[in-house]
Amino acid sequence: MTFAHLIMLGLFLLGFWCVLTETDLIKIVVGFNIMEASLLLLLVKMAYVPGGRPPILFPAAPDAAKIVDPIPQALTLTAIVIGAATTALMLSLIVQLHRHYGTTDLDELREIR
Amino acid sequence: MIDHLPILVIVVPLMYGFCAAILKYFSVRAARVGFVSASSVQLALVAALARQVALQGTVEYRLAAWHPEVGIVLVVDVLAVLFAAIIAFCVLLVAVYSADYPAADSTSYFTLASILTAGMTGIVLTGDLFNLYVFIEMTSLSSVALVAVNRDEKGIRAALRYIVFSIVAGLLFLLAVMLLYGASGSLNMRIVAGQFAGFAPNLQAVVIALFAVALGIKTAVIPFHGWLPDVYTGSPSAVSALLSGAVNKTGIYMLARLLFTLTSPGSHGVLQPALLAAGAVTILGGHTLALGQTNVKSILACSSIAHTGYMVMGFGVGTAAGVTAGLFHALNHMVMKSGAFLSAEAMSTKGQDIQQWQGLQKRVSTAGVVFVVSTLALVGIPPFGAFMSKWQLATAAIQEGLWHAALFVPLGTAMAVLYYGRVYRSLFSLRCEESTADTDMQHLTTVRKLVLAAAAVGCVAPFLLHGGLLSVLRAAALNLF
Repeated sequence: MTFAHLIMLGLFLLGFWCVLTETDLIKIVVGFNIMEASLLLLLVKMAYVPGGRPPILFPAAPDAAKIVDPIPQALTLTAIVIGAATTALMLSLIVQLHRHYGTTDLDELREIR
Repeated sequence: MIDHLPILVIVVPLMYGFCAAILKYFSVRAARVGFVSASSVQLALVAALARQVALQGTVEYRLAAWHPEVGIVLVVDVLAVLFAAIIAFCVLLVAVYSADYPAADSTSYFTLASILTAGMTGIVLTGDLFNLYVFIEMTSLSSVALVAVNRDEKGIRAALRYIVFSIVAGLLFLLAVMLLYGASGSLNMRIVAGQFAGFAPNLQAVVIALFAVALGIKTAVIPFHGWLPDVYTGSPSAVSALLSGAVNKTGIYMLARLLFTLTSPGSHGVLQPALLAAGAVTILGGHTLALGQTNVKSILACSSIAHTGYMVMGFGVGTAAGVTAGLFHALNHMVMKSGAFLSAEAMSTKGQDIQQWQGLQKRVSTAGVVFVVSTLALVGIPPFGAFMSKWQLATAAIQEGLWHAALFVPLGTAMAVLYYGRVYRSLFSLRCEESTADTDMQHLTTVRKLVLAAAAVGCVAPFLLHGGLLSVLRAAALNLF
């Protein structure tokens, strides 16, 4: 476990804490986004090669060890897109909820029910 | 064409989803007809794929002809095609029933349901872990949107609850996939599974735990069931039928596929007792929750939790016979629960409360008969398919000496009799409430009656044909060992 991993763990727990304790739905969305960001950082970190070069085969490419694995970066991009879609859907649901009840606070919503 | 069947069954519903979004500007009627036709084509394609699997064995399809170590593969074995068929059948049933759905924004219903179909079919066919994650998110996003498709307060609240649980499950799943990639350098399920036994024991435990919790949330295994009653009750009934009949089964499929291919049958260790315990708790808890409900849809929702318990328990037994029983129950549950939700919708013109159903039986003959048939099938008495699958489950458990687990099967049946009994008593009561007597019952179109009749036949057919079905299901279960 390196320093970078500790930061990611910290971010993940921060996001999780936010999801568990906040009562405002918008803040819960923010919490989820922080959790997701920590996972994406971990994914990028996994593929990090110090002094690495693009994964393109030249006839005279000397050290294959320095080639950066492109898959984690492709996965990160895909995960970002999925995260954006999820966030958008959740926010649109919150907007609809606000139209019906006039609040985005979970405690107030419970009282209305 | 025949070579490309595995990708076609994913692409066809996906393409129709986008076509429907365009078609609605020209004719809503065309979008409706198109939805039913696309679902029929889907079932036909899955049938052709099943034939191909039966003739050639497992089919591996390489997308864009990339080598499996770098590209994405679709792997179609008996198990995968079985679940693809369950999904396609359920979607067709719901598609025909809801073709004239009076929803406020019914065209986005067609788009979302088609994308949902593509996502679910992708889940069962893919052989790539990250691809699986993408399909999971596709499925959960479209099903969340479907829950709120009517934009009513109940649906929106349910959808929000659903999406929160889905996000948590998705993140845990993504973390597990990343850990596996970090350790093995591959996303191909077969390659990862081959290396899994060589990973550090801690990593193995963490990955299995992450998958178990993520899929536990997806399938609503107790204690991760918090979202299910609200979601199934709050969504339109056709959507409830889809969620319970098809979406839930993709979770069951992944549970079996991931846990059994990663860990070899001999070395299950703590996993097998954990699955058995989760199954038992879920059976007991689901039925107990159902006992306390007065809304018919809530009863059906809680009974979905209990029935997931039977399937999980089948996997927990861990033998081929146990898994076969679990898969058989998944098949039965799809048709029974779809029938129950759809007929319940046809009957609840007055409301979904048991009290509001007093004396309804006389007024809604077709829907009433189908409701009684499908709920009796859910209870698990002969001559219905669920009786056979529960019987298989109990005998498989007893063969392994798991008497205590087998006891939960008759116990669950007894509890189901109690709560469905309350519904029947209201349904068949001679005393008709004034308000009920006055209302004209919703007129059921012939098409809807046919769908309901098909569901009722589907409840009985597995009992009569269990010999042939079991040999197919056994072949599917053996794909996992």
